[in-house]
Amino acid sequence: MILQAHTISSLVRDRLSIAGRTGSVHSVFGRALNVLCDDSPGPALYMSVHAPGAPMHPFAVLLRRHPGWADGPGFIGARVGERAVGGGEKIVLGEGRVTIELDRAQVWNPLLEPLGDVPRGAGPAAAILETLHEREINSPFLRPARCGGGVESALTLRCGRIRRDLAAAWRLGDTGKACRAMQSAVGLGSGLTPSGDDFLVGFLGAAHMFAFGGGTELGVRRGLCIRRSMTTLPSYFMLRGAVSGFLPEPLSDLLRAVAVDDPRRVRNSAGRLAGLGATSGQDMLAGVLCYLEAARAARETE
Amino acid sequence: MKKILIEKSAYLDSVSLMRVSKKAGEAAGIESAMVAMATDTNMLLLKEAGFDPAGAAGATPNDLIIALHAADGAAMEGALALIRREIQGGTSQPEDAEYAPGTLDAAFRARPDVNMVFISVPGRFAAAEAERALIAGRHVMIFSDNVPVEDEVRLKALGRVNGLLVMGPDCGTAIVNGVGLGFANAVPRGKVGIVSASGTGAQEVSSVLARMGVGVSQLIGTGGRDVSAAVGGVTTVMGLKALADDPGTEVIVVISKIPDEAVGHDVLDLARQSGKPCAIWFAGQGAMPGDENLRFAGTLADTARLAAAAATGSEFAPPSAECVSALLAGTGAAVPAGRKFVRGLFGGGTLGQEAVFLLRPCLGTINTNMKLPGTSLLADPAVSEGHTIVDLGDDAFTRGRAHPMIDQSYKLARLAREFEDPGTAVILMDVVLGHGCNRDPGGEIAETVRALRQKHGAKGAPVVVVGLCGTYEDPQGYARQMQEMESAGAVVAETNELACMVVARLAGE
Repeated sequence: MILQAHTISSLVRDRLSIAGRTGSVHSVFGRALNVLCDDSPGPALYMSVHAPGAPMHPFAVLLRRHPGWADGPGFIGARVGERAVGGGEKIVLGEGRVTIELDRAQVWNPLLEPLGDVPRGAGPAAAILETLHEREINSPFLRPARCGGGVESALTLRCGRIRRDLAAAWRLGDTGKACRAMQSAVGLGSGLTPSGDDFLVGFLGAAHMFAFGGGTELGVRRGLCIRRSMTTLPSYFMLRGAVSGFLPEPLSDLLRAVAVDDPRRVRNSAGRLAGLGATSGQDMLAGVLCYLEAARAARETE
Repeated sequence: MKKILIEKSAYLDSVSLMRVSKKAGEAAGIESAMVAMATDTNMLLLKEAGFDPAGAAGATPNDLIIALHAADGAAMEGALALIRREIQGGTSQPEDAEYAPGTLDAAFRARPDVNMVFISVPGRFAAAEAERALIAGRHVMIFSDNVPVEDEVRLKALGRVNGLLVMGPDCGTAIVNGVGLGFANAVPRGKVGIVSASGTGAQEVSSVLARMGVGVSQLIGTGGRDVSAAVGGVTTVMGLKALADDPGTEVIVVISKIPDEAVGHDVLDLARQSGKPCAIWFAGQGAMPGDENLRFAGTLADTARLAAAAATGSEFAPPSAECVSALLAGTGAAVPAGRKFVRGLFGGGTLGQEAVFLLRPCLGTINTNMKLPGTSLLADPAVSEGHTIVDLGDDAFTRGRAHPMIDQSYKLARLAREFEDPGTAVILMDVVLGHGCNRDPGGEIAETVRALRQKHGAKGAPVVVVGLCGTYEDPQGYARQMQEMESAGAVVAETNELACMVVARLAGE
């Protein structure tokens, strides 16, 4: 079967320029499959191949709709562990059983251009909270901490603690402590991209947009150590991207809306983000909120 | 008891993981459950929650951990079996399963080719969903009512800027490229394009056209408020322009409740500029002489007849007094002595308005819950006074229950009450067929009328007159509906206009 890519992340395209990247299919879902090519020289090539829609991963390859799909790709029998070869203008799975052609795909750059200054008012945070107010809250970073034992209780207590510690450290400009708080969120919670990782992507994205570009960025890059063994593979690459400002498209969209301090646009973008995944979108929103609250508190302290 | 298990190299997408976790947590005898990836942080978390991490020794972040706190062994086994079933079945759907996305974004991801969104959610959420759809570049039909006018103005401005149609809020009917949306009748495709600020008005016109063998190219609903000064006719204007440019549309119909004067002028100017024959019905305006390519109808049915005449080259033939005589012949319908009031019960607001305007010359003062010129506003819409025509689709009647075109329970109760009122001479009703409407409205009315006539005796009972709106292809069966109501003793007219003519004749007697 030959499939056409509609959109390809510039991160993937650049890594594919090295021909003959080999690896394997890492995981397969109804609407996405993940491929890891790290058997060959060069930086590890990770690809999150998705059905049509918004690019949700900085290493995304989005497919064009195929006439053979009834309701979605179903991923056409791709199997975990089968060989994948990427290079030049195509990705070949399972010894040629599935070929994904890339030559006509448009290139999407997941890098968010930083603004360098956070909006001064409380409007964007209020607009995000307003959006969340209308929804069932699934993110453990947004649910109130519950006492009384059990996994849920331990999870919400821990998430609350991370959020508080990170906000306090950021407010005080203590990058080392902030990195330790971030580190404790890696791999935390349920989900293929665990809640803690999504929360960090939101926080790092906001930090990239509004604060990075100088010493703070360097401090975070040095202080935040994320290894592949700490979380799931899709999440690891997502976090790696976020540290450098490569973000899922709906998160970039929200941060751009926050930057222009337009509450209506923020509400729309936050609503779009909040609907993503089981908790991923809400976890990212929690990260953005945490950053906005910390940055505002820091300014008030000044 | 607490237990951790590992499923090696098992993946579920986040939504499935959440679902499995939730189901396990709700299983009998389970106090706490977590199904997550075996990251170090999650192992620490489980330790904090009192689980023994030794049970997960050797697990990597690529493995799934199942942590259960159960009341006893049986509960543990039950929950584990449930989780394994979910994990095995969770990643794939049966091939014939219909995918039902939970959010608009999910729907857009699943079907990026879709270019129109139909919104039917409680009013306070409708604007946000519509805005999301517009930002995503989709046309919108908002079936929901109770959307603030400020939101309507904002959404329509957004749509206009982006060349996207916003049909509604409170848009009950549309037919786009042959697909009926909301309450829509089974009409053939054809040359007549309709722009309508009235749902049942559009249904009446498209149904009459269909019964005359004339099809509809597009039916664009705008929502009743579109022609108000606040909204400025944005969708009506866009719809008219679209029909003017559409090569498949040869004749244009414009239907509207009473429009704002300036908006009405704009609409007429645009219709004139289209150069295509246009049949216009503005509620309460009455028939007027034609003007260039514009023809003004006095009734909804005449609007359809004018459009059909333009589309087929046939003659315009409105119903005559003989039609009324023919309809009444053999029914035995007569107003009993001492009864003198007409009571109109309408599910379709525009049909109710049309009845008010058609009957006002013969009845004089009409009490109604519709704010219409020359009428008297009912103190309590639930209580009739003198000649009364009520719109049962009004918010006052639909709180907590579906629209009367779907749920006739109040309409039937009111029918019984009016029937038993010694002042009632004639009860006028509408019955609207089509997709989305009640499955057997005529049957329900027939049953009620039959029971009432049995209880009170046919002689001396008020006459029930029904205007039946629908097509021969509608799912309820036009002929069957008519036959059921006639067999119960009702007089059934094929249009609201004809039903009003019958009422006027009976009231005159």
